[in-house]
Amino acid sequence: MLELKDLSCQRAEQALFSGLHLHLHQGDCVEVRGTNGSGKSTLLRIVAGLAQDFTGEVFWRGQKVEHDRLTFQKDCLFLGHQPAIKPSLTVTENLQWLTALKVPCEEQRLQQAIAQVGLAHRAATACHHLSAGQQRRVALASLLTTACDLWVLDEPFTALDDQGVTLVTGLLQRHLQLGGIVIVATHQRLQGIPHSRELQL
Amino acid sequence: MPLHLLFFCVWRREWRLTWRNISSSLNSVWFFIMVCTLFVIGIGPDRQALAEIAPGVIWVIALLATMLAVDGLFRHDFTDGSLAQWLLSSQPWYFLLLFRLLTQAVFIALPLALVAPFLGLLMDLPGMAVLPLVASLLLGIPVLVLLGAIGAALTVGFERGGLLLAVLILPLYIPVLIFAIAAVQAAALGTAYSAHLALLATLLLLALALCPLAVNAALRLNFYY
Repeated sequence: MLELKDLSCQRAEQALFSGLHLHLHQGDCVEVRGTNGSGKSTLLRIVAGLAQDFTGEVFWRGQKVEHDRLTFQKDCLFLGHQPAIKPSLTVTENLQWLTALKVPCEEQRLQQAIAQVGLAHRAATACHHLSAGQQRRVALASLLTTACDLWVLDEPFTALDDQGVTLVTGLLQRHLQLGGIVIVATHQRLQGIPHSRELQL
Repeated sequence: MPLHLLFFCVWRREWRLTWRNISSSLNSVWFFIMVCTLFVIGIGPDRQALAEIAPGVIWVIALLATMLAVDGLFRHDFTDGSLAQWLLSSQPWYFLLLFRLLTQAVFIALPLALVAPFLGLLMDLPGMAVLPLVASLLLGIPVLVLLGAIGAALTVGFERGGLLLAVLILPLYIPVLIFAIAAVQAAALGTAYSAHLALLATLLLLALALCPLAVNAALRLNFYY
């Protein structure tokens, strides 16, 4: 499904990685590891389509991504370091917008997702009243509402408590069982995901 | 998603963000009122001198107020990660940006145009020029917002892009300023002004059609470093 061919990237005249090959099928999970500054985030941004200063190609369902970016963006959900949450909007409004940017869904599904990430009692609260971890949970709820096949997650465990980590692991497990693909950059070892591969940068 | 629903979604979100941060949203309006008042105080009670410079002064201050509002158009979205989600959306990017810019243009232009008649009164602008002044602001400020958005998109990655933004986009503001002030002056003299307004409307339509393209390219530059 997702194929990275001969990917190389340079930053400040220093090669971050070169000749990177990766082939991911349905139900595959890759953990991108490496020290700070080794290019984990850069790799994820290249996959998501937020960087252009690289050589090599990205294929999605056998097609070059740049040939049909809209289809790819419909299938790919990128969660970066910043959770893309607006402080003055409520939890529901934020999630509604993040979902609408992909494919809009019904109110009921939004509320279900909010309950699943443990924010049911906060659904109508403005996000500036929430903690960093709770805001991260709002962003994670968009994983449930958007139904994208490819998840590109940059440090999804940041600011989460133990329950939050369990929650994310559960989401990943279910997504992989349903045939989704996950690329995740994390310093924490993923627990309970049997076939996940490691990519050392 | 059908385009009218997309428009409704964008409009509703922008409205909520603007309304819930109303004190900072109205900064440019306070600026407009304050600087006009300072001008009147500075020039003194010479009614004829005031009336003569009124169209130019009101329009230049409205232009600066617009630039103040435009500076922050994408900054928060860039730092909180929303902009990345905008660019990775599966909705058509052209319409997404067009609707956003259109919405912001209305939210910035409307309050400025609403207070303009009172400032006209303050500066002794002839009564028959008030309506053309409001019309020129309603047509002209959206053009300034759309052009300014290109500059704001280019400078969004800089800590202090304000001055650079001014240097970049002020030259582009000149045609709007010329036609708008010409319309108000013509009306103040009791001559026909509809041609000037028609030219402003042309500029607006052109900017609406073309600016989203430039803004999109400029926004993506910030990520393709």
